[in-house]
Amino acid sequence: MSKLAFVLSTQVHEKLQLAAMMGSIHATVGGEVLFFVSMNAILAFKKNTELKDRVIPEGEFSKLMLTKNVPNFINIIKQTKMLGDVKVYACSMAMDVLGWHIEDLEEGLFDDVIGLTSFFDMAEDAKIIFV
Amino acid sequence: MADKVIDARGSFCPGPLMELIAAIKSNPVGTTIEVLSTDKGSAKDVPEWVKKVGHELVGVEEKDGYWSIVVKRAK
Repeated sequence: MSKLAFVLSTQVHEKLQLAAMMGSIHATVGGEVLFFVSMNAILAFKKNTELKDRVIPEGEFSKLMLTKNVPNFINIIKQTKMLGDVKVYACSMAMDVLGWHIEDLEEGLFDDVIGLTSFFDMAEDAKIIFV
Repeated sequence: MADKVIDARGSFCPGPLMELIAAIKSNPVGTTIEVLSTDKGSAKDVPEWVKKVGHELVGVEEKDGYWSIVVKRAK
């Protein structure tokens, strides 16, 4: 089964949502999924934050998703980690710039803080999807 | 009659599918699970998922404003 590696760099709600959905479905049919979270995307994964404060809306869809019962991207990834092969890594550069530690991130989600060298090593045989 | 019923009405994709998968994982082979969903996309996508991973689709039925999707854990 193929391997997908998502590089999340945006805080845009719609993009994070779709990436989480794609990764989730891929993992539930037996695929392997990596999320490498960097740049503004890391802000969306801060611990103890309301969904509306995590993300930046790009357009109408964000508002619609916030008002309807759409499973949010954090919970989708968390749930999929329990069901399939999903690993989530925080970018060490982004964490250093923010002065954050893994404890500052949403609990039960991140496997480790790694740099790009490690990420490319892990993603060597994966399709990389830049978000 | 299914062994287990999941009422995912009101939830959007991928909510109903994720609830089904969790139920499949936590129940033995042979269990039939009925998912109730108001999400039209799930009525199409859940059967596709079931086919792809090798479980058995017992039936999909449109009811009064929602879909009933019955799946049997096959492995």
